[in-house]
Amino acid sequence: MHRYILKRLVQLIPVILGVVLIIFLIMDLTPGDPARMVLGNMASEEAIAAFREEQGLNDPLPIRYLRYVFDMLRGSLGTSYRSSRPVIDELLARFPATMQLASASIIFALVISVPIGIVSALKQNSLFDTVGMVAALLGIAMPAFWLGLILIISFSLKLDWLPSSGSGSFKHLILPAVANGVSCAANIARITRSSMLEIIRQDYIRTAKSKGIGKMKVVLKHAMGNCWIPVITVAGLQFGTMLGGTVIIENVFAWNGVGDFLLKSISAKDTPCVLGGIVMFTVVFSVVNLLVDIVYAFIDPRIKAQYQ
Amino acid sequence: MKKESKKNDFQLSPEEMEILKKYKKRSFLAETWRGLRKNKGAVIGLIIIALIAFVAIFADLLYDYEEVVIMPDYSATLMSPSLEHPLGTDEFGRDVLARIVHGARLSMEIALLSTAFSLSVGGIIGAYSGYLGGKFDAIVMRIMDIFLAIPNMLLALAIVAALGPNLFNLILAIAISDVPRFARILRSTVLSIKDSEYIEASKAAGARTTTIVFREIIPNCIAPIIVQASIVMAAAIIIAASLSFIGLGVQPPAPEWGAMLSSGRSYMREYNYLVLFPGLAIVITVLAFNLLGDGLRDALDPRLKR
Repeated sequence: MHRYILKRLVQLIPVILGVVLIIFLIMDLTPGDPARMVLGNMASEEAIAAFREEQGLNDPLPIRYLRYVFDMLRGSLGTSYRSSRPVIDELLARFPATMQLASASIIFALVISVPIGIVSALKQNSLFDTVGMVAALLGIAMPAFWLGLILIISFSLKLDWLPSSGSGSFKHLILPAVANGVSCAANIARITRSSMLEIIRQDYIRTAKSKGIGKMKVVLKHAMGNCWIPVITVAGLQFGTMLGGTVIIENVFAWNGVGDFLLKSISAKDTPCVLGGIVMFTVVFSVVNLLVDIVYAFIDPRIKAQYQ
Repeated sequence: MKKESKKNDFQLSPEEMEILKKYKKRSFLAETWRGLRKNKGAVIGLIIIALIAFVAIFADLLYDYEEVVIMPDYSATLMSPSLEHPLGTDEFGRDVLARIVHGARLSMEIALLSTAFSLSVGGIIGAYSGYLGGKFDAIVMRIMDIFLAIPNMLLALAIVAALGPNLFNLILAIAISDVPRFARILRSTVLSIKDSEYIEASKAAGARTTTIVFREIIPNCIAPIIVQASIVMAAAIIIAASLSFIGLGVQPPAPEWGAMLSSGRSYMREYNYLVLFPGLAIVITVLAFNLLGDGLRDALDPRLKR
């Protein structure tokens, strides 16, 4: 098992280096001179030249990329143009808030979607199934930020039950987590239903049933074991979509996280912060994918067996 | 009858000829349509898409772009839905329905162009990668994996942030972020048909790689491409609206749905229809594409039928 985890960790390294390279190349396309941007139009030519030299902006692209990677390994992502503080400090200060929102969204999604998917499969073509699956289709079609606005109108402005913006308490978390989690929930509900439908027709389920085991036990013990694999795959992939969505949801709910910071950095043309923010998001996504693969190994005896 | 046909194995009876003709006539399109027609959701999706496409194409005949959609009318600001303005007017007195209609044109344009780009680039990369195999395949697919490790929205966000927000860059950003998806799909389909006899035959006849890829392989991958395209178009509409909503896509006063939501947001306390209707337009369009995609998948790929 350790060997498997180690192997996956090693495989993560080239992916992260590649991701950083791609984002680095894209951000390098940003027009305009960063030195001018920071020092302003009034700055003298000497000051500009000195800044370029100091920041290493005159070096060719490959050198700048390698320096970025080595700095990254030492825990530095450069300095913000706006605040002159290290980018990593700016990001880490906001990281817990983003993770809080993302995990609340995925927990919300799993808690509502898995039971809906299972019941829909067990009662295929019933009213519950139809309503559940139509709701899932709508959930997938809804942009998270729009759902967020609708939730704010209904629960904050009309009913005044929950706060429309800010972070801090559990009450602040509910609306953004729901808005961000709904499409994820819809996707998971659909995949749970379809994999459950496939599983309950298998021979071993018929065997379990014919042994006289109660229906609940058959589903929860025998069927769920195999159902988790596709569900976790989709949940992992959805987590990436959700991290992307977080950027916009944080903007809608004025949630002081990495996403909101990223957008503010984009409008301020603070390239080191934009680069750092996107790199942070992608590294988190890659690590989550790794965790998903490790979870697989625990629940899927076929993978486990290969490494024992 | 039976005796006759047994006498001569190569002579088909008229009935058999009829049956054969029937099967021959059924082209790929007809076959797909037959499968699709049985799926209620897919038919609804197709009808909605046809309606939206119709409205998008004839948007100029319905509402004049300059006069109605863009020009402010300060005598009619923020009017609630009425007979004259079925979906109300915005803060500049412009008819919301007219803007949504012209927004349909923008959304369809973005979805079509970005998907066409990612489909052709990703498709060619995937087809060559799968067909050639070896080192080329290994390198290309590693690069695609790295792209896939970046969530779609963030990749598109990075591209627009670097290039600057406008319609062209938005389409480009969405297109690039979808390239690996098509490359993957094409590659796996190619791998499954690569060793078929007709490809062997083409090779034996001396066809060049380019000929084989474009003449034999790509036409046989149409089914998974179509399914993926409808799903990608739905996602493209959401990403375009999301990016425009945060000011990184189509810029006002253009009537893009996400941009409309962004400006309507400041007035949502009193005038919630400004937020409701453009959002519903997105939901309906995306839903239609997803329904069609699900139906096409069931019709074209019976193995995936659930």
